[in-house]
Amino acid sequence: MKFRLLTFVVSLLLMTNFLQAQESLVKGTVKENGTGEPLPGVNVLIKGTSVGTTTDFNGEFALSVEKGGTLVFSYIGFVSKEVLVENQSTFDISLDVDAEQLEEVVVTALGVERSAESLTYSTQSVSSEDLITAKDPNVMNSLSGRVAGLQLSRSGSGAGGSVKINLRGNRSVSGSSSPLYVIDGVPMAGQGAAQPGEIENPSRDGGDGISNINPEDIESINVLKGAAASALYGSQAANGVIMITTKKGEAGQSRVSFSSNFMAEQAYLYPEMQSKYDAEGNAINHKAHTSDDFYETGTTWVNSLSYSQGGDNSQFYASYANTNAQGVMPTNTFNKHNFSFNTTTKSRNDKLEMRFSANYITQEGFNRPSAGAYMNPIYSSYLSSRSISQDELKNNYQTWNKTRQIYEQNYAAPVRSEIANENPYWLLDKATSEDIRNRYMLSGSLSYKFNENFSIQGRANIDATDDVWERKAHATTNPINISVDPGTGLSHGGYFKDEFSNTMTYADAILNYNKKINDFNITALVGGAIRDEKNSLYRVTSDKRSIKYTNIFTVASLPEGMVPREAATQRQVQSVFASASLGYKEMVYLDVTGRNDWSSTLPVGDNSFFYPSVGLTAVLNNMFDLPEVISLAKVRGNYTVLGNDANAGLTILQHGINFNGDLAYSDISPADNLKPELSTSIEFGAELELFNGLLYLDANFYKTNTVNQLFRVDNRLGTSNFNKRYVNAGDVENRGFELSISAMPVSQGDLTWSTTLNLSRNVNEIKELYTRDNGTEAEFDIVTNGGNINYMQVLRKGGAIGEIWTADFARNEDGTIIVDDNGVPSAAGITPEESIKSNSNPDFIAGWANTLKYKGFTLNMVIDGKFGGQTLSLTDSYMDAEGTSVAYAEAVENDGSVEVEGISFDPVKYLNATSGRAGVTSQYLYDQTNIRLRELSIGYTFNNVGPLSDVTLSAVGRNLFFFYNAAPFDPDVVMSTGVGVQGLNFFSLPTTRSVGLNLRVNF
Amino acid sequence: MKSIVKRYILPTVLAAGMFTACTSEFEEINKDQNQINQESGKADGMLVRGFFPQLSRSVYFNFDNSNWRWQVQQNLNGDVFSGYMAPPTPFAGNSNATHYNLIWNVWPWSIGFENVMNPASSIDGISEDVTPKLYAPALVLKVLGMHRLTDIYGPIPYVKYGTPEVTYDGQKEVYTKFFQELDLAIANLEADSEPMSVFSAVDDLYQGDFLMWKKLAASLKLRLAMRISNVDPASAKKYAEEAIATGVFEAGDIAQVGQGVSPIIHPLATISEIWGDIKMGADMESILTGFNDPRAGVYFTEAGGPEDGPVIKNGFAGVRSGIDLPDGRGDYQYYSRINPDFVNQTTPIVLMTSAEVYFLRAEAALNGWNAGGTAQELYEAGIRQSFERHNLSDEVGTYLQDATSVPADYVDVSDATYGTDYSIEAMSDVTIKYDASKALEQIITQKWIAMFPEGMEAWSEFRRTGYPQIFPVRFNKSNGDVPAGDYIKRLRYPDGETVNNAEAYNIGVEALKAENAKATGDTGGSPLWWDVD
Repeated sequence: MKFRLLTFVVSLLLMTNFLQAQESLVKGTVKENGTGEPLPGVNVLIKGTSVGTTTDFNGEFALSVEKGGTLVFSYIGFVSKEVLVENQSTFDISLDVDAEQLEEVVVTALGVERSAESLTYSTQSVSSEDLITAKDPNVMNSLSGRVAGLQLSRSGSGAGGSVKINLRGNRSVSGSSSPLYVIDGVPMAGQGAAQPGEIENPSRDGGDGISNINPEDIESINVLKGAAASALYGSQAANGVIMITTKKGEAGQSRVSFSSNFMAEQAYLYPEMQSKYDAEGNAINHKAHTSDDFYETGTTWVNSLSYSQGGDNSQFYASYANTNAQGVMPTNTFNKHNFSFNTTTKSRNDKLEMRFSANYITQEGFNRPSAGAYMNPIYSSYLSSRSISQDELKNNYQTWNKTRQIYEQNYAAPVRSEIANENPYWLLDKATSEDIRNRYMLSGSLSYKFNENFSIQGRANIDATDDVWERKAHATTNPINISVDPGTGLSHGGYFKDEFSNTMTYADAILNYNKKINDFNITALVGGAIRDEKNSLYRVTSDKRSIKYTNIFTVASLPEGMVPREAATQRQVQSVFASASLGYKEMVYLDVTGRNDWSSTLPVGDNSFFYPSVGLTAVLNNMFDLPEVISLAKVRGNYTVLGNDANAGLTILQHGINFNGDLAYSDISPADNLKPELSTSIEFGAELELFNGLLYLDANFYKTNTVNQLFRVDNRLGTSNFNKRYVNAGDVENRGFELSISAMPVSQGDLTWSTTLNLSRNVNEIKELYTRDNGTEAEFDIVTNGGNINYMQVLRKGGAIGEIWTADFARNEDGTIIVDDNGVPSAAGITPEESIKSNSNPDFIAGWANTLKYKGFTLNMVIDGKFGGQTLSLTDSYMDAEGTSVAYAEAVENDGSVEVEGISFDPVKYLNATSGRAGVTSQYLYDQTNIRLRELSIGYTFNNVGPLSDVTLSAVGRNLFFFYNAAPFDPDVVMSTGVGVQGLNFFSLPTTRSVGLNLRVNF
Repeated sequence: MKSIVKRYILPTVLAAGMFTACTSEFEEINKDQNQINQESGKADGMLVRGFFPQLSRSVYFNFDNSNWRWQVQQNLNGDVFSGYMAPPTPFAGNSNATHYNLIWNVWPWSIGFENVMNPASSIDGISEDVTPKLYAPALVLKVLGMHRLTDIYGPIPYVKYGTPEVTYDGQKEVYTKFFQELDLAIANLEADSEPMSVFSAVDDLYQGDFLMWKKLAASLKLRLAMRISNVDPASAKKYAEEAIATGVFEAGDIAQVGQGVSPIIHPLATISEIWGDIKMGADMESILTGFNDPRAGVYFTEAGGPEDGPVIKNGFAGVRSGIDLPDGRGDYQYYSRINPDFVNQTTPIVLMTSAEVYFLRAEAALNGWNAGGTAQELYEAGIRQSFERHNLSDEVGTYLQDATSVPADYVDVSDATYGTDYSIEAMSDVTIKYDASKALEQIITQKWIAMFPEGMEAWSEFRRTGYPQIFPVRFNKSNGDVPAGDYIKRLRYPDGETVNNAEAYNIGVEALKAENAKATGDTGGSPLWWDVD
């Protein structure tokens, strides 16, 4: 059915094309004036209509046109030409190179287009081609390795999962360190997706907003790395901005594109399991469940269709895409539909321009993988008892209870340690989760050009997301955490549901001024903006109790006395801002910006804050006589201050009502003196272009200090009726460099090789924490407390955001390992003195992107690497403790001893003593260094195939293999893309490699 | 230039101003209307009455459904130290509080301050002038919750709590303040005890019956008076006689958190039945089986065994405290557990019983104070109350006359299986029939049986009196903090206090040492102010 509909739409679209072709046919060739080279892709449009065509590879075109009509030839980088159609049957057109247009234009903050040369800060862009060839359902994954200084990690939640993007390091100890996403100049919402915060019982990955976007709709992505680039977006842009420019209709073009992408996905680098011994070390005589049995081959289909058409004054673009994925974890599916439409209309005198765009996204995930211990099939799979055979576990995961008339979980194996476990196949079938997202984004803009110098623009957008997540845990699921019904003494099941909605409204008005006075060029703007974000949550949970009606998952089935919980927050920021750029003779540019925000989250009467920036660029090649090989030499620097407000509701004393309907006294006092967080950054950079663009270098050095960070600190006990309070304090520094080198080492005839190398290093350092009540300075502050688990994420003076503490061996005063009466070592405490402190941030990131073109062939390859940084595998530690790992089997088989720091231990006893949550966790730390083949694709483009203008068929692979990987898992898969639980692998979905085919057809 | 300003800049700024003019709503915007704030909370006195469920459910913590918080607040501390129960689970590699390695010392402290002290103190500020009688139950719950804290740790921040001058107060000051607060509560209730519907609706204990609150206040005063009877007999006598004169619990009276306001889940039911993390203690086995006490079958189940295997022991089997348990629970998982008929999820949580009050009075009488009866009468009345509560009245007559039953030797059936030596001979030959020469041991031993499962109070009274004579922990892993063969005296202060509140903490430790000559510092071996011979 789906396919039929598609065929219908395609033929409909084709028909409109044929309908237009009814007048007399003219033909011609378009060439470049001077060289005589044919120009492919030139727009040929009949003036005053939306009818037109484009030239083919040989610069030739054919078009039906009435006599007396005028043809408009336009091509980027060339001066447009108009030709009256009289009696000519063939046209030989030559176009002049437009010197002005050739200058590279960059889309900067608020969608302002500026010449690349004049920028005082660093940006880097990625083109559509790079994003859609080896397509990933989350388009951000395609940025890996392509942008210097961009660190990317993925959540282990399969298709539709979040990514964590970090530009120039983690900046905030309590807030977000993610960049702001901006689509066509207006900020996107959806930063509020839920992220895991605990280890064993984490919340789910709610899926970030950017993952919803259809990659096919994107024309280009421009990454504004530092704060300077984004001063005009205000606080949300403190972590940099990812500017997305979407595809639009073009004047004189009518284009239909269809692309179909199929990828097969395979899990790898997951822990191996042994099938030889039970937990007591006795040999087993059956095949036990292993991780190899668990994962399946995943598939992802992405089909998309777009249509764009444009006349002189009005253009539109419309697209539809469908993503359909089966995960590598059995039963996991994901389905997404994207609808997108945008239009641009200009008045006849070109003074008034109106844009409108609409996006609708609906997606549905089933059994989306998440990390953690509770109700996680991956956890239950890796820890499943060796005493049960795979056949039994998988085929008899449930038994029919005749008395209760329900299926009950079978082989919910009690395990050796304090950890409870379930049957993974039961969880897949009887503790399922489902998440549904509906999102729309509407935006409109109106701009009016008063004259050459002045223009005004107003924009508004709404970005609204509704999420519903539900988990239905059938009776006998999770017997430890879902209690029994007080009446029957039986488990009736558990029910969990979240309805989350997020609505962001944004509007701005900007007056632009452009003027050239003698040698000076002024670009200035002044404007105002309002951003209002509302979040609401309606949460139904049976928590740790049994629902009332067996396997009836509805609010009315909540245990006696339990109530749904609601929360609603709103944050509004109103701003005025101004910016001016003064250029002198295209030699020197001076940028000054200022912004004042008023935020609803700050204390009334003290809710206004101002922040400025200043930047300077010198274009050396325009100032001095440089050797001819240097086509661009530029140095630049900027200084920026950026303010950031806080979360809603901190300044008010509010007492919540809990799931039992009882009022719970707030443990924290209202933050009467809340101040905005302030980031101050300086940046220096240089750009050098040699040999007419064959070699290009861009280098940046930066330092950012963020002060007035928000901490929740303990009060000195009893000084008030609250245990905690908020404190603005601290200083987090990020310093580093980014280096990007692009070159075209080969450009001979049909063969071109272009390559980009991106290198970056960021050092994150906590210079200062806060001062306690009693005047002493805090030495550390806990971000994630492992509780029973020997892991802690800590902010430490002198350490980094992302520092993790793990347990060392308990040691004697002379440093030797303490061996107890049973002949085993034990773990020391997670204390400032005893713990092993590791930084989970990489020291160095590198990416190498290559494109090789020969005739119709295109080869793309991206290699990226991270160097340094450590990560903890609690997965392995728990598996060793449970006796399911290969390491355990080896220990059983080892009749000798293991030697650690000169002391001999019994292998099994040693493993038991050092593994598990309370084990010597530092033994499970791994270097994160890895180098991998991130992307490889080879494609061939056929031109003029029948009615089609071109067809490209590519074979693509993503994340294919590692050249080097120190850890037994992929360190890029993170448990949370939020602030906490970093540097930790805890039964996350393993990494996957995918290979597939991509077909792209342009009509 | 002027025209530019007029034509372009002004309209833009005005347009911008349209957005930015209305920051007056910011205060409302910033509120979450699903929560109760200082303004909305004034309606019907919600900011006073609203916190009563939290207060009454946090003494013996069951305010959320977490269970584990209670487990480390009470169950793996007082319930074990009192000899009531012991875990079959080798927590933290067999080195935990049951071995006097005090790894769970934070929770009683943080739960108490967060859920009792803070909300109770906030009520203090608001309601004193408004409704004195509503202030009374808040005071009673505060003392009920916080006396457990000071009895666990010793000196605590209390007298000047809520002010910048706050510091640790010696336990004597804290107790003095307790008595003042209870007196104030009693006085307020004597002045006015008309029911208020707004309170009845949130009163977990008595559904708004202020007269019962007065009785509870007096009974609590009596409990605290007896606690200080060794260290300050004169004050103790005064407070005890005052309390009895005011009117303490009589037959059938009880302080319990029930299902009246909204459902509660008894955390012990979860820990015992569902998590299987707690069993009958060896001392309970020794004393109850030795006494042929019918309450054994009320409190506990008999031992079990593997599904297709033999029962590991006939009758009751308790777990001894401070033993090294096998990896996993081994046979200990089949030892006697809490009888689900006695404590299940919906069973009210008992904070104080009439039996305890009769035993308190018996001890007062034994001291020669005016307790409204002789020690023997009150002792027997206490036992009668306990038997009556468990519907065993028919058997109480015989029981009271039993002068031969003594605590039994403890034989751990798993010794044979695991090659361990956890069995131990009975510590005492106390019996049941009133014997003036052993009256104190009898009174406290019977109180101990009657108060089950409230281990915190039982542990305090054990420390004060040394009764009942319970088995020492098998393996003492306190690193010398608790001398070998001795019993734990208190919990260490949470580590956070040594960092965040060092000055006051040091004052506290000094007070701890000053108040008891045997106290050596912030360790589990330092006896508290009232813990004198």
